[in-house]
Amino acid sequence: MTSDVRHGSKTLTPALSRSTGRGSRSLWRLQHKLAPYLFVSPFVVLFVLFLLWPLARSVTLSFQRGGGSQRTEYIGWANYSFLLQDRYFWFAVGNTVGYATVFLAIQIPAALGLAVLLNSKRVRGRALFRLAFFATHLVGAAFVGIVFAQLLNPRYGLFNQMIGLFVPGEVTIDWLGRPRTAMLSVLFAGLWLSIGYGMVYFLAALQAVDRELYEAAAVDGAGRWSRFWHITLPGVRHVTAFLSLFGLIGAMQMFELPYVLFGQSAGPANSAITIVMYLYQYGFQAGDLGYAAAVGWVLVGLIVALAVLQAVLFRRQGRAT
Amino acid sequence: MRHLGPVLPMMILLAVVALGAIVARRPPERTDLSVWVFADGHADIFRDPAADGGPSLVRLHRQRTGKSVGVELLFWRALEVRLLSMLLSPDSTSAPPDLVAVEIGAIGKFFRARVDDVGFVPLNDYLERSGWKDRILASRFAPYSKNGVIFGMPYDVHPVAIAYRKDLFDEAGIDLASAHTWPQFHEMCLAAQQYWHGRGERERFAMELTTTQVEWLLCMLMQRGINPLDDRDNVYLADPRVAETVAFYARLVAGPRKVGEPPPGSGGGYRELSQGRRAAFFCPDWRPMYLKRYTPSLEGELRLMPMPRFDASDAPTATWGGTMFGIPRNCRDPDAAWKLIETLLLSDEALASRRRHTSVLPPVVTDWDAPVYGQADPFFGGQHAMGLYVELARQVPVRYATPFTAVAQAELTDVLGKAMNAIEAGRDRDLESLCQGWLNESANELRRRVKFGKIE
Repeated sequence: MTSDVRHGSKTLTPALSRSTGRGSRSLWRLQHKLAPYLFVSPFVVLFVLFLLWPLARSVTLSFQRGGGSQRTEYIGWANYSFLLQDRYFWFAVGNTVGYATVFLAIQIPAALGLAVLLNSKRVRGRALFRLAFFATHLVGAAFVGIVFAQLLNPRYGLFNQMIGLFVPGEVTIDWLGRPRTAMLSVLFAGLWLSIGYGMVYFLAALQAVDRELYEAAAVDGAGRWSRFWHITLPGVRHVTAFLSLFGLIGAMQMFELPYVLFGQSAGPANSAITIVMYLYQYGFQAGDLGYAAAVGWVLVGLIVALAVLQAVLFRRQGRAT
Repeated sequence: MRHLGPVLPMMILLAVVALGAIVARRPPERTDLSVWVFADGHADIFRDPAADGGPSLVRLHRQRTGKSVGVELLFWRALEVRLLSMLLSPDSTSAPPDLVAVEIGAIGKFFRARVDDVGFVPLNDYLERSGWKDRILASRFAPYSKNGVIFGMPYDVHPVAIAYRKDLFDEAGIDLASAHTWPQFHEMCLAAQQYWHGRGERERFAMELTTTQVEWLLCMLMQRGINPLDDRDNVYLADPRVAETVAFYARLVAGPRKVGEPPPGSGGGYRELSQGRRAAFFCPDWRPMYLKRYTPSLEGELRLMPMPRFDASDAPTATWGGTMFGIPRNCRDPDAAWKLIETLLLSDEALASRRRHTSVLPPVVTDWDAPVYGQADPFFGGQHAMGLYVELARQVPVRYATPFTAVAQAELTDVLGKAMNAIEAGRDRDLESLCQGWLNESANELRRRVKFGKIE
């Protein structure tokens, strides 16, 4: 854009100067100087107003305590030091990290497996299957929460009815009502929502792998598993890294799925509480915005730390291969 | 431009339609006073015309004071978040309501601030000047007060009774109403349940009891005069009677003497009741309305009885749920808002409208003599159901709500879970002392949180 403007000024300025005189020339120069700033100003104003300012405000909030409109007190690092000894917070961290780990451990291989299957020319109606698997991601977490609340109903839900086909007697597992199965229910819904999404990325990556590598490997006598291990997996490594990072961040920020699934709560006896739900509980249910802000910033720290760790691990693995 | 094809005309058309919709949109009706409520029942009581075709309560207020009133029905979570934002922000530009309904479970967070910084107008002077303070059940002000300052007008009392399927207990030869103590009640439930299970009704449990929420355990504690926290945030979790009650409740829902099962899933409770899978349940005065709506087949089969007691000095009831109406501190005219409270909640017309719409008792004690509360109720087999609720309402124990009540309930839930696990693991014999140990730890944790979070 800068070069265009410069180019324009070279060709147009002499003509303008002849017809409008010195005053308009300086106005033109000023306009020329300010134009880029004016172009970006809508974004900058919105960015500062709705992102930077709230971020800065949340930092100051995390060092304050208050419950009314008139008085807040500065309490230094007290919110953070209390947070480090808060067993509910650590329970939420454990739940979230545990969920993220299991979720990624299932989502990535399942998405890759589906992608490999639907990349095969031998599968009929591939386009339909691709659409069907990806469609789950289009409906959104809130909708999935509502649907799974019905599917997991102890007496009338499809899950129990399916289990009932293989088990004698009436199956009435209260998936959403028991602390032991609450997080498992969130995992079912989370995987259903996102395996198709991962599959689409893997499909794109698989189609970008050079076919000649497979042909060369086949000529050298490599079997199917060997080709998958030595050609396919390294070929989709960058997508695996991307999906792991996004999956991790998404899992760490998880809120709406369990919130809808458990009818606006964190599950039976808070058993499905996540870090963001804990933040929400403290901020909007207990009204302690300072402490909630501290939870938010610790979450940011956790996500950054885990993302860096993951990036380092992938880089090392890349070098090794 | 040509390469855009039909996209550009479509975008222009969309922009024109959107602009037209914005211009044509009717601006919300401006009223002199506004009320936020979260329950459609509240909105109906305020908006519906009187039984004799007379004016609705909001029209009545306009006739009496010349001020128009707008009633805005909001989803409860939206109401809470909007209100909290308004009350916490000193320079909020949004116009606050003149009167707002807040649910008892949510009120604690509004009382985090110092008394002079709480976002509601103190009502003590209004109540005393108008004489209403002596006509309203005193214990009902407790959850809506901080350090003796009343911030909300209670809307209800919500006394709790036990409702039971008389037909099912009769079939088992058990007269449940004759149980005066909780141990007697437990034994009778167990006997009835054994009878039903012996006849193949293995899905039928004597009671509907939750295991992951402690609302009903809190009712038992309340009737013994115990709140986990009082209005000054003193912690009572370590009281030995709490350990005794938790252990008792845990035995109702776990182990070989279990008589209670939770309602399955969301909204499934009423179907379970109508199918006879639960034969007795805690029944505050708001529940009969839903029973009549969702389980009409139970007409004539249900009966109500007072809650059994642990000790003779216990109350035969507790309270479950509740709503207050408060005047936000930054509202335009608190005096006008108080007058609105008098019209919508306390006037004869308001009380008549409530009696017509709902079975929920108002906290106005002088209204309890109304003939409607003495009538027999065919749904409860001709029993004087409302009469029983009135009798229980007079004995409703105090319930407090503070910013730490939710944490105290989480601690109690945790201990209940441990107690249930201990029973399942066969460690029932020393359950009371185990519970006492866990509750001592919970009390210390709660005190630590109060010390950290309390704003003096």
